[in-house]
Amino acid sequence: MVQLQKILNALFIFVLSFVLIAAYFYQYLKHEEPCPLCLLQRLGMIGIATAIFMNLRFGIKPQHYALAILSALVARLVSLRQIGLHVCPDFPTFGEPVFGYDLYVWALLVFSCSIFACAALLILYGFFKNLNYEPTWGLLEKSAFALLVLITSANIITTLLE
Amino acid sequence: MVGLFAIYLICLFLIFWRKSNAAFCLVILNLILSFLMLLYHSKDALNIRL
Repeated sequence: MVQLQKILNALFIFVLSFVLIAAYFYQYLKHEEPCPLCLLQRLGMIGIATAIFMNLRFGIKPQHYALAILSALVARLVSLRQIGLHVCPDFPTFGEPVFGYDLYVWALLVFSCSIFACAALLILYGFFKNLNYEPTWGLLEKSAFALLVLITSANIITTLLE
Repeated sequence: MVGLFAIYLICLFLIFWRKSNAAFCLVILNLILSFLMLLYHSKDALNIRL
């Protein structure tokens, strides 16, 4: 069960990383430069992934899930602000919609799902918290770390170049 | 904005070096700075004068 929690946490990080890589796809292939609010949303996703990565490195603790939930809540505010800017009828939206929804709406869904995922993982943690868990530094942890460092560095470079 | 990303990069390396308290504090700091950045970008709508 401890192994399952570790795998789920790593999967959480990989899913968020995939979303951030998809954002880069839209930035460079569709030529849609991110605005400051978009950058704040990307920051929120990196924040959630960093908090979940703490579980892989230091052991699964509720404080790390709480940090992830806080990151998701702050980033949700940013998404809601951006949705509010473009929600009026006849007002132009920012960027091309993806499957009918704008990217900032998808970001709101990602953050909402992150909060639900943290809640589910906390329930799972609650059932098995008495099991001894020694955090390891295997392939899963190393690949999550490498992916996060790569994505954060890429964001630094591209934001500097903008 | 670059600084906020850089703080997360430092956080990741602090986590790698097992400095959990420092990493935790930096993440909280970044959350506060992100929220302040949001207020700054919404200052016209919220009638905030700096």
